[in-house]
Amino acid sequence: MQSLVIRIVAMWLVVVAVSSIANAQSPQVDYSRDITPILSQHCYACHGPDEKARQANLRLDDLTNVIQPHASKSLIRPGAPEGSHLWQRLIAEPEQRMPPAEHGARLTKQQLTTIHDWISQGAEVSTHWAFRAPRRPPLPEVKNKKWAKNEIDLFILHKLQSVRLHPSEQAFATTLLRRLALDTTGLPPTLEEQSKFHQEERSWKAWVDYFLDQPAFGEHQANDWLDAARYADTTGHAADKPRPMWLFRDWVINAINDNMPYDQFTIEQLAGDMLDEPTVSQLIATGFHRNSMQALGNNPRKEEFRVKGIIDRLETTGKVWLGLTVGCAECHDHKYDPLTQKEYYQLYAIFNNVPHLGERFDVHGPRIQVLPPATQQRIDKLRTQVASLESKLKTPAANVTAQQAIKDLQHWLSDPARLTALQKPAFQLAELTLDGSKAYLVPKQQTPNLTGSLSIGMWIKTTQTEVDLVSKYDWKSQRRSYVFGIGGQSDPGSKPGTLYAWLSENQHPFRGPIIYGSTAVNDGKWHHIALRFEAGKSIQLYVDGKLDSAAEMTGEMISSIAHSPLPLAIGGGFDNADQPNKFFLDGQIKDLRLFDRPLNGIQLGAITRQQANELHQAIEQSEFTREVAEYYQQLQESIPDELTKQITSLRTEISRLEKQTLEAQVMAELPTPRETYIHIRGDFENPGPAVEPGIPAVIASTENHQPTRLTFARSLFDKENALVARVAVNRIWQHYFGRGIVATVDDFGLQGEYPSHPGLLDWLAVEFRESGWNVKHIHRLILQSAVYQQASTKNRAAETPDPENRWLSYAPRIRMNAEQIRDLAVFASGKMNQELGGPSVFPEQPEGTGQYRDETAGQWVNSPEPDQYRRSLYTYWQRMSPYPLFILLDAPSRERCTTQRLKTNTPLQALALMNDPHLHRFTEDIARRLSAYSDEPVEQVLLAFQLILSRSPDRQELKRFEAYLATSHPDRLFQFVQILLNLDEALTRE
Amino acid sequence: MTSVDQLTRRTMLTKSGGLLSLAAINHLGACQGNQVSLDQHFPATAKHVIYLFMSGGPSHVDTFDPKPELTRRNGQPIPESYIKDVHFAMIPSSTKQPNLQASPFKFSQHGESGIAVSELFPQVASMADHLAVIRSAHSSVFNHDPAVNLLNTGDSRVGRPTMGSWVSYGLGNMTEEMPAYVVMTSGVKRQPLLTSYWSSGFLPTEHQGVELRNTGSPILFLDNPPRVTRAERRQQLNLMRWMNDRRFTATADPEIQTRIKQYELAFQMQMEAPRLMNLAHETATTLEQYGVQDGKPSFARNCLLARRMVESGVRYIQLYDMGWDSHDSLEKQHARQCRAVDQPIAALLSDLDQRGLLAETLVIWGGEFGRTPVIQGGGGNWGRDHHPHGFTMWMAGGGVRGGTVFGATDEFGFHASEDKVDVHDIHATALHTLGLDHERLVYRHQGRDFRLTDVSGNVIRDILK
Repeated sequence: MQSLVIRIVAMWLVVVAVSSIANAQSPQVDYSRDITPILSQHCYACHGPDEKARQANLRLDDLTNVIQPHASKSLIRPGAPEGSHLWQRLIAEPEQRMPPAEHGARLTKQQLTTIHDWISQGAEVSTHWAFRAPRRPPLPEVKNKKWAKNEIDLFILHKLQSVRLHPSEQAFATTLLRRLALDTTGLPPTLEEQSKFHQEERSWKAWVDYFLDQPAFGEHQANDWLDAARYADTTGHAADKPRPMWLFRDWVINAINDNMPYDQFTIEQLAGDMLDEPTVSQLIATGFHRNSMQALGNNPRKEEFRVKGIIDRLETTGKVWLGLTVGCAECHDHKYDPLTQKEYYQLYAIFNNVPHLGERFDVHGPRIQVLPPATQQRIDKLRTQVASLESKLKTPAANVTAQQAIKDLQHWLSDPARLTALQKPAFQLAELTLDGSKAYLVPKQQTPNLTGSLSIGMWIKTTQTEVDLVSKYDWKSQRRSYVFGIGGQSDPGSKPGTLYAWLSENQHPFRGPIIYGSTAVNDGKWHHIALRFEAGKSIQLYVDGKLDSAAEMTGEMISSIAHSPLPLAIGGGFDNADQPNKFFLDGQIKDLRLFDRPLNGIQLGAITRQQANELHQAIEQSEFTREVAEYYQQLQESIPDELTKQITSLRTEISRLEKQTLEAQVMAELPTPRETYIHIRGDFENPGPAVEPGIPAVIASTENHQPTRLTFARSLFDKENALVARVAVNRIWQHYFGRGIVATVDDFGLQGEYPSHPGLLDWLAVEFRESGWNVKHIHRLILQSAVYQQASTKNRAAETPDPENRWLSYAPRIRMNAEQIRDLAVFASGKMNQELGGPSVFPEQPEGTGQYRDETAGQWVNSPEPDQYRRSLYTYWQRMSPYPLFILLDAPSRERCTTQRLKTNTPLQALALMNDPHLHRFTEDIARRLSAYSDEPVEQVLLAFQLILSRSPDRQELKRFEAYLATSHPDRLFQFVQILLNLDEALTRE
Repeated sequence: MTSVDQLTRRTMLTKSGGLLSLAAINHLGACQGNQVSLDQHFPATAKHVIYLFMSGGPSHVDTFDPKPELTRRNGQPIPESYIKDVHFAMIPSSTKQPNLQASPFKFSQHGESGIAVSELFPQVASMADHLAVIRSAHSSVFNHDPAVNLLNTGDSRVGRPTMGSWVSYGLGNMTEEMPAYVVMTSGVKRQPLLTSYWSSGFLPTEHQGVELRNTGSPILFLDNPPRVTRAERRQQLNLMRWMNDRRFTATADPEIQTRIKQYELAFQMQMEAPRLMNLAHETATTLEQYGVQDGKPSFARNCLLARRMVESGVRYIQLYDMGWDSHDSLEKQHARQCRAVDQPIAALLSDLDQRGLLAETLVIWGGEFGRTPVIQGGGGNWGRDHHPHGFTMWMAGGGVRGGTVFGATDEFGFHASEDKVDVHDIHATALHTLGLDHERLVYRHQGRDFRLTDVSGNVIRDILK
């Protein structure tokens, strides 16, 4: 009894305390802003969206059944906190109190007040702000309109005025220029830009446009996107093998520089492969989701890592486009956000159809072979040259007189060797007799590299039904190139005793033409046989100079033949071996010729003694018969003239270049989708019910019956999509202010932070959408605003009301990111290599770093000198042993998606920035640049300040550093440059 | 409070060593909105951790977990019931029931507690009364990389902070002249040691482990360039400070004061780290006790350095010894590995003890898993495969009740069977000795509070004093 009294009194005291606070202030409570964060953090775990974890069949994420104005035992009675059961439980005695002690801390007094106020004010409920499509809000009314430069400022000013703060003055011109240059291009302004800026030749607006148009803009902005895309040059996990991805990196840079609209930018990356007839560039864009890590090597459970890849893709998609932590629903319904486990796996199903190939150290998804843009340009140029040369080619024998032809023929026929010499075969062999026990092996240095058009001709004498005559082909060991012989190794479809040839474009699997002849050639008599392959066009067989028109061709035509590592065997073939071991010739070969161009039987020497005699006679009698003319023409065709030689050499160059393809990792869809199951407790080996592909309701409200990656990507840009535009503009805002309007840039859900300027966020989001997703437009708006151009001197007045500067009464000072800090030194050296794109480079790093990488993955070999001066963004990104300077300066390893880098301030950073030998290279360059500029310390100080700090020194600074440099110490300039490069001011964008 | 005040407070906090680091306080303060307690969650029994990580996976049945039944049934196929749903890493699945393989090493009982240890660890065995041997550790992760991640971060996937980072975040450091969390490596390389093994994950990078290098200067970028002497560096720092102070006056940004401070700390670290790494002042007896040979990089040297780190106030020291992955030639390989670590570990324990430091230093020994009681391969070159289903770890010092054996595996040493210990339990226990409640040491990331122990973890009270 006594305890009950105490309880009631205690309860009453709490209520009184809380009510008195409430009555004193009673600000308008907003459900979405103020109440859901409390409920989601403290209550949803047991009374939230997760059905399985739900207690007492009560859910507080959906209050429709909970708020009842009149019911006496209603959980929430609008206007009557004391009559609300929910309130009573919050302030009850410990054993009755919610949340229960074992589930975490009780609500704070402030939180209780908020809930009390909310119920008192009528317990109005609204959908979470971020799940409502943004509408353009009216522009706020403000007093000091003069300060505002555009709409952004009205929102900022409105908030500042409501907390009785004033914006700061505009920053100094020097600060502004450096800020603008560093924020857009990542680099400080050049000396020329500094001088022009101070002469006020251009308006601020023109300067903004100028910097947005610099190619360096795309490079610097790409950096943020590459963090989010977890772009790296290696596969990650223990093996961490190289995996070429830089084509994707360059795609991002170019897309940003071209100001590709954000919807297109998104759709091409998420589903470029599913567009109608995708371009190579659109395929490369899909590399976005091929950046996921891939385990390679001994016994990784392949399916496990395939599944991890998809989970990574969902997590990344969620963070980058939706600002949602979708990963929470992998194992159970989301505890905070309206995303069920089933919906998660429906989304999973959309991403579950990417082929997953290879084994052990070669597990991979789809790849294509792509020519790097520079190579493609060179090829196009060569092709134009070839075309122009070909137009000059005369038709053979057109202008040759009979006398001249007969003279040539006499000359050639008098010595067959001479003819062969003129024809220049790729390989020839006069005579070979074999007994069926071995083959002739062509020495390596004589082996021709035949990967385009090809002809083989020879005289043979044999009775075998099955023999390989010329072979560089072994299907069993998956080393295919070309083979020509009799009988076709008893393959189904082959014919004993007749000719056959197989040519493959790949070593494995087979892709190319298969041809089987119709005439037997194994009657023990001499026959001339020939194979003629014109790359990309035709394949033919000849027997005794005549085309075998009844030969059967199957398979597909190809334009190149694979290069196999096997030796070239004559009179024998391969059967799962490195040396010829089967299909040996028992018989004779004469006058074998291999050519790298298409030639027919006659051209390959199919002329019998009798025919030769007849021709001789005809020629001696100067009879230019039709037969002689034909023969002449064919021979002449087989002998290249100067023009043809030129064309051939250009063609060779083209085919050499065409082989310099790079592998690009792309997305593709399986013809038959994989079945998707819910993974019980996130365990893929524990499949639950099957699910169909679907888009979670929180992402898109539109009905979409057969969603695919493509329709999913498109649905992100529905007018009613609440998240995509907000999340995107928020990230751009973060880029310029160091913090988003929503500070949790990848979490707009119920646990995310409420926007500092909700109206501004929505205004920008709608503006973005209505501008046609024009990214540079948003950059421009921010850069032209007054809030961006404020001084970064701390606003003393803000210390108490706004210690974190959320209301932006002054500009933030932001420490530059790792790449920018290195780039500053490279740039100031005057030797920056401004080449855009290309393979990643290897700046120096101390010996012994990266020593624990798997040796099979390769070694870090420093790039040659010019590449030491590339921008940091091109540094080879080795996930398991990232570049040490960058990691110390808070760059992520890029194992997973990162949308926000932390900015720490540590002694190890100080050590690296003072002592990394790689930075000393640039320090020395700058010192040399200073001494080359002038012998006068004053001049040197002036220049150094401009190069590194983009400003002039004041009088005191000048005096002090002049004195510092007034010494004959040989290393003093170096030491001076180190000082400037390490100043807080140098490392900070003010 | 100005930034300078904050710094002094931070110094005070870190020096006193017994309080939550400012980082953690700020974080808790910012995110939970609750009143922040400046105390540890409960009194600590340890201030430092030395984690001896045997990379590759030491065999439990050949070292700390004697199995007479395994010896008796040597060569017989393992009963099917033991290997239902078991995946082996390397033993091919065509081997339906691999054969049991007895340990070739003799076990005997040691100390007053009579803990059985094999002849591979004669000297560690002499310290048996300091050890709490956990014979029932288990996990389900059977590949090196994910298993190392699990042991370090509580999750087999990459991206979570390692235990050292959590400790640095939770407790800060006791010295300003060395990093809070250092890593040293030794041994025969089989698997790569990845930087992710000492990553701070989503915690700020200041909590990342710092690798002490075996060659060159002990910390990356520690040495001045040849063109700058120490006196000249001092002069540089003075000028930088003058410039930075002017900037601070102009902008009032506290980050500038922090930066000044970090450059000063770096300057001190340049003195302190080489001093710590220099063994010249250690007596010949000590060097001999550890088995250190002329300053050559070795596990022995790392053990001695670990003691010196503890003395100087480093919070968390992790030693990786590589080469334990004996898929073949286990007899030879394990004999070699144990020879290299037995004496140094025993020396470390007794040296710490003599200096009164063992009482405040938690020492953890273990690998990423054990090795199969069944044979891999055969003949004279037989080995054992990866084995996460039951393996041994031990702890000593820092409030651990020595002379304890906790948990057990089944008759063959295959599955943990009694008092099973999950990896999260190891973490919870280690944090507990440091005065940290594993359920309350949290960091807010992606909308939720993350813990080292995620949603599990029980303190193994039976092995604590």
